Amino acid sequence: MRAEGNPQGGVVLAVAEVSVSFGGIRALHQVSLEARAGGVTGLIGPNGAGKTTLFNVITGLEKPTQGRVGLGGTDLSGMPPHRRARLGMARTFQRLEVFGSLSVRDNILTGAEFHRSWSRHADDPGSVTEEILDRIGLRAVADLRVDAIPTGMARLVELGRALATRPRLLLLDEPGSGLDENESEELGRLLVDLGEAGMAVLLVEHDVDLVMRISERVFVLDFGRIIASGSSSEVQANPDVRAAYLGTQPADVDDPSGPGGGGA
Amino acid sequence: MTTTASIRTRTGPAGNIPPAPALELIELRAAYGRIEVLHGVNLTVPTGTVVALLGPNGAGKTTTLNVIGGALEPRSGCVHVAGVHVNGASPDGLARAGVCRIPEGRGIFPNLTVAENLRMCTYSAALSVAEIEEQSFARFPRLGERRGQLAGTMSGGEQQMLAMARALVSRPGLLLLDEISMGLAPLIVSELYSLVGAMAQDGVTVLLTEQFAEMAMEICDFAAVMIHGRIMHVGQPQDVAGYMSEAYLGGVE
Amino acid sequence: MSEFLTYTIIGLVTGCIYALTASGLVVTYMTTGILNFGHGAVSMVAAFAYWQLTVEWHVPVLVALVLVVLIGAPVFGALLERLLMRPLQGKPVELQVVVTVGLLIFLLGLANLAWSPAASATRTLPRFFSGHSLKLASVFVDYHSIVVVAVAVAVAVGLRFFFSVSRTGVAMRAVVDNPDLAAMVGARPYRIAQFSWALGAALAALGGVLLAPLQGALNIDLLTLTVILAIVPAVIGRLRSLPLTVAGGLVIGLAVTYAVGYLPPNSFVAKAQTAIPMVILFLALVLLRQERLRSGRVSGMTLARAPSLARSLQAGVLFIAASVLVSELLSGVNLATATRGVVLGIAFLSLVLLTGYAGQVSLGQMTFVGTGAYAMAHLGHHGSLVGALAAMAVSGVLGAVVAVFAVRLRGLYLALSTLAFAYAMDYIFFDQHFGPYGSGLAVDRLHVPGLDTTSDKGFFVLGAVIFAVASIGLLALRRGRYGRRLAALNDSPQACATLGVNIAYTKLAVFSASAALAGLAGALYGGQQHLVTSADFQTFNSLVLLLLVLMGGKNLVSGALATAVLYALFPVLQQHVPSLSNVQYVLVGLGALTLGRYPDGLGGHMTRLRELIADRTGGQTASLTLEGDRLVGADG
Ligand SMILES: Nc1ncnc2c1ncn2[C@@H]1O[C@H](COP(=O)(O)OP(=O)(O)OP(=O)(O)O)[C@@H](O)[C@H]1O
Ligand SMILES: Nc1ncnc2c1ncn2[C@@H]1O[C@H](COP(=O)(O)OP(=O)(O)OP(=O)(O)O)[C@@H](O)[C@H]1O
Ligand SMILES: [Mg+2]
Ligand SMILES: [Mg+2]
Repeated sequence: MRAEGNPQGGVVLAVAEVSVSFGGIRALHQVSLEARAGGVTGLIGPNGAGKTTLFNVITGLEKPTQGRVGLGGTDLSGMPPHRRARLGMARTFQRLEVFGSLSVRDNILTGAEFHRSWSRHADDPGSVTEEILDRIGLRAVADLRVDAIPTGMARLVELGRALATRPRLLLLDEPGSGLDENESEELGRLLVDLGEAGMAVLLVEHDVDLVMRISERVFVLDFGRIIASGSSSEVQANPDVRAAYLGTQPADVDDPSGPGGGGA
Repeated sequence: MTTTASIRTRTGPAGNIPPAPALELIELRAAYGRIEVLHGVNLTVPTGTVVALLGPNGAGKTTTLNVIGGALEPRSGCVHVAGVHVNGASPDGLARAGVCRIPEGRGIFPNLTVAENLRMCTYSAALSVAEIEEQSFARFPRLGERRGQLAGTMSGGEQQMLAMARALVSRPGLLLLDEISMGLAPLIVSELYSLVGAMAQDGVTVLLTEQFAEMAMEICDFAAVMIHGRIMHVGQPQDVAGYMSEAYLGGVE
Repeated sequence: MSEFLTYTIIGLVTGCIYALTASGLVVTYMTTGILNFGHGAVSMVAAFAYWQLTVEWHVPVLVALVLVVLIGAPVFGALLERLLMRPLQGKPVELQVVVTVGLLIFLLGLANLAWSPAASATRTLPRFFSGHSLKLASVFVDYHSIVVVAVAVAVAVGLRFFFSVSRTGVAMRAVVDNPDLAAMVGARPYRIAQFSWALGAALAALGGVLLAPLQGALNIDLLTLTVILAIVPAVIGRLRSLPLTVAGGLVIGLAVTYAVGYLPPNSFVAKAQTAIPMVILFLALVLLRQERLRSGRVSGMTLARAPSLARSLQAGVLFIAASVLVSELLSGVNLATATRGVVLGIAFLSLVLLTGYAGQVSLGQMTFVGTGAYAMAHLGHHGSLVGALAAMAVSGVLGAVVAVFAVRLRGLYLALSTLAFAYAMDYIFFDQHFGPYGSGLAVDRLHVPGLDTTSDKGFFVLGAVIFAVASIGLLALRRGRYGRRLAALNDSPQACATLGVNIAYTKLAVFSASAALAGLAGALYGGQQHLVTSADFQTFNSLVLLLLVLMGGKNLVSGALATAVLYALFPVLQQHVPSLSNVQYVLVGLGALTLGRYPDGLGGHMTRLRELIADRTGGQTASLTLEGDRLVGADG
């Protein structure tokens, strides 16, 4: 399903040598990566590697001790989260941050209204909402309060809400966890569509099959450092990545394991 | 009470009845407020087996475990643990009696340190604090490195390890695991499953839920498929896998 | 030099008492997440009970101590947990605050009934080992002071040991973090919470018994207020660090004593020195930021559906018509109380907006009402509209100023910062600018063309019209995108920020709007009373205001109306049943105490009644069934 031959768009997100420490713990160490328009970029790595921290740095919720983040050529250093969002980035949260007291529909509507409040090019929030409800298949639960729906579905609500701001860059922190097989397949299809429509998607996910299937490029983070990057097959074949993350049995890779794939 | 009477007749008469299963659910119904979520669940988990409860999002798997663990009163039906009728028992009573439940999401105390979280295991585990730490850190070295860190600041996966450490050290009679693979790296998931497998070898009875069946299928003895609050199918892992793919593709009502 | 030493010793002794009582607050907060505003009242009742036993009934001191501190108070604490606090765990902050304020009021009421303040001067408690003292350098320190210090040290060390070493200590903190999980691991969450309330109450009682002899004649209000100040060191300890709390207690004790000793008398500063602890509280809140980590997701608050514009317009017109009728029927005092009811109703609405819709808790709303009245008094001569506008502007700006400092805070910390602000304003502003010796400030009635507002009838109708308009406006806001924005902000500020919302600005705006509305209420209130004094706007009244709003149902306009009417009716009732005035406190307190169980208040009861009726009449209103909800992929 991966659009192998697609010419990739320009760099939307550029992370340059970002480091973060918490007290003595170095969560990120000189991390550089980029996400391009028109496709999904995967970011994988073991638990505690620093993926969520990196998202927090990109969206401005966490200050890096060092390094820069750029969005479409604009340097974001020192910019508060809401101004970054207005430049066209949206995210979902690993630990849900839904608006629990609102219905599914109102969650998405609120996203669209927020967009309208700061963008001159926003469409009518009502119609945006209805379109998104259909697109991610939440119509059946549209009127339920979000704090009463299962986790998996709530993640989709966050995705819908993020989409409602029509971002250039979409950061997804484990959107697939809590989804069943059908749903995660559907999610994969949706993300590919979004990429084809020109969006840059940065996807953090432990469902390796999903990441490998839909990502143009995959970065691997381990102990706060990028240890590999490249196409799915390169990364899957990389012995470091296997040792650090995938485990011994490569998931559905049929090429003989060789030291292919780029180190960082 | 009719329910208690029915247990008597089940376990009462002497004879060559096999030992009671570790867990038995009979016509279990449960609801959140007015919304009924379980519509009569029947399930038996024989002692010493691993049973996987599979099913799509919102099927009622978590709800089932909540009812077994005493967190939610069933509307009707019974829960038998090792032949004992436990409807209405408190969650903490059940925990001390050897029913260990690892909840969906992060089963940790975010504002306690890792060490203090482990300390809390002493309520249900028979081990000393030092033994608990030793065993947990041997299994999950990352926890040892973060002994003094507030659990809530750890990454999602680290938190899940901490939650699983409790299952490991409390040596329960019945272990209830709710989607332990959620948010975990494949390497860790396979480690956790081999841990569950090893615990089962030691005689722990396990009921676990998953949406992604693959890993669970490898270690379970039986699998049950739950859809819309009912058990639709129970069987050997292979049969169930067939049933599942059919059901998903065909779209079960 | 010896003067300095004397002050230092007095300061340290006072500080030890603060530390002791604050430790009690921290213990219960740490293990239940509830900051007990009634803590001071528990101390007070304990001191009185101790006085009753030893002085009146001649029970030996040791026996009385055991009865009060080791038996009475813990049992009371455990009962509190069982009856009141258990349903409060995990509930919104404002509810927790208000229920404990209810406890405070209830106990104050009881104490006033049991120990009539008229005879207050005769009640004194001897100091422990009175007559004995020790010479330290050049000053004499009495044994009582030494006892206080020794007890404080022992308690601090004991608690520290208990929390870091014992399993129960760890479990106490675990229970507040995640009570479900605490049960899952096999701890007994309720028993643990009960223990911590018992411990907290015992510490409160100990503080009370040690403090009372130092204050001379036993005074219900003074004792209670002094212990309420223990909130300050508790916050300095970030409500979880006992050593910091003790340090905070000592700092406050010293600061207050030095201020009394060294500030030049009769200056502004000297008058304002009572505000010192609250200024420290405010600084501590703004400087020490602390967020509790949480696991999983928070559930949103319950919101009743807002009626449509057509319905709220209808209701508004009806309400105005009814008020015209009422104005014809009532007269004299009754009309005046009814007017006070609707006018305060407008202040209630300002809290419905801030707390009900936006989830921000203000414990100082009366301050904004007061500044509104002040502006009206100075700029609203002959009822000029300028005065009302100025009232809104002044209060609105002040609200924004508070918000500038407080925007970073959430939940309880935000609430406490407004409390600190309000307290400071009591001393710095209200006590000094409402006429010489608090004699009061004359306020003219707002004049609008076409209505004779100098008559009581006309003014009542004006109040009703403004209440109706504000209600309709609020409901419209709540239905629309601002309502959603506020709910969103309350549920997840982080998500809002990453969706492009300037949360600081939004909070500031809602604070300011709410304060402006309160200011308008103040302008009208002043006009209704003709003469307002600083006592009208004391912080304590702010707490009662919030309490009344919650009793009505915090996000319900109809609830605000219901409590406004009740409020207005009460004095009328009281006229006919004079004995009511004594039990008024007790009644209000009891009302608030029920909130733990019925958090939606009166309005909630009304909604439930409506639903019940709708159900009976066969409507399938809300019985949803989730059967057949297929999710993603259903269409694929
Ligand atoms: N506030 C904090 N204080 C201390 N350590 C922290 C804090 N936040 C994160 N960390 C540590 O930083 C590391 C990176 O955490 P992060 O949440 O980014 O990991 P992750 O890659 O998202 O992992 P996962 O896949 O498990 O979610 C972890 O080891 C975590 O314990
Ligand atoms: N607290 C609650 N209040 C109301 N409804 C709830 C609540 N919790 C769950 N539900 C509903 O009960 C149904 C079953 O939920 P449950 O969490 O048991 O499903 P699940 O099979 O565990 O799903 P998942 O795989 O997503 O975890 C869902 O439709 C959900 O909306
Ligand atoms: Mg993460
Ligand atoms: Mg579940």
